[in-house]
Amino acid sequence: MVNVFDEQNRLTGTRVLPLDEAYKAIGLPIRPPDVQSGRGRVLWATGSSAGLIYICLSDTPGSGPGYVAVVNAMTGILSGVIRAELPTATGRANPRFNPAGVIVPTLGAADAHLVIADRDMQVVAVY
Amino acid sequence: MGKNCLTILFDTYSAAVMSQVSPALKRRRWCVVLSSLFLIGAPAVSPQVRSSRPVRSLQPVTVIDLRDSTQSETGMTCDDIRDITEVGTRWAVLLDCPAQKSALVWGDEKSKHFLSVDGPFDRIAMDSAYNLVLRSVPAASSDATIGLTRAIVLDATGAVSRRLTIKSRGVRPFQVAGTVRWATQSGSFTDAELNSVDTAHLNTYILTPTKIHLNGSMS
Repeated sequence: MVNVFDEQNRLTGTRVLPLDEAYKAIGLPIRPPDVQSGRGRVLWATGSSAGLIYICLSDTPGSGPGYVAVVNAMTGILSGVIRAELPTATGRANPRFNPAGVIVPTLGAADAHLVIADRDMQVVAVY
Repeated sequence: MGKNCLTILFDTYSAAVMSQVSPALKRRRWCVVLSSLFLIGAPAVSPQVRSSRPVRSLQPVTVIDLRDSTQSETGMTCDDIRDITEVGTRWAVLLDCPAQKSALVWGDEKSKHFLSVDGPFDRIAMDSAYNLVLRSVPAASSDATIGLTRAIVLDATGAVSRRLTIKSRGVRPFQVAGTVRWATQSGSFTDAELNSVDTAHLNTYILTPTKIHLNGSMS
């Protein structure tokens, strides 16, 4: 959900974020969050000065890539999905699930560039 | 005289088509058969229609491994990244380090800067003048129990320019459109928490002053 407030912190509108549409756009199944197993659908969200909300999808393959939905903050409409190729770190290598050692996109920021970081590996990728 | 091949083919096809239509349409045999020809080759409609929203692939233009570079630049071996932020083309990264220290790394397409600061801090935000706001870890003091949040402001050169104490529990700094404000939530974001996150972003998107803006009382 998105709540829109004006300068006086008055609620002016509420919109539903199109997460289902984002998952559909990348061809992944639409699954509701599972609180018991800890499986969510969003890793992080951030905004840009262009009025876009960047939402990193979490229910995606662990070996990458990272998927970031881009939503217009004022309309709530999905404007697209970024398929971010992630760098590797030796500490992330797992022979079975992540042989290349692709980083986990645990943090993100966006403005002129999209920035994705792996908190534990201390790796930052600028796009 | 026998029917030619085309006539036989048409009769067979039209019989197959007419067997599928209602009696009312059987009186318009030619129209129905001709219309059906336009449908041959039309794609089947799938119930699983894929979204037409574009998926754009991006490759990183820069990859920074901060583990080694922070150690060589600050002399500290840091544990992990606590927070990151970006305004324009400038990004900044806050790292958690041993002995109540934090490391700060900021840069753009041309350069990187490293700084060691007494902390620890757990949140970072930046305004349009590239001032950096670092929030102290509430658990590091008794402030959390009395509802105080402390933060420092560093100017674009990394020098401490202000120290803030905010009378509100659990606030975190964030910025969009170059304005630093505070939101009363923290931690990683889930679907349920997106509400407040986006609320915060929209607030700052609408408001675009270039000074540091505090949503809460200062003491």
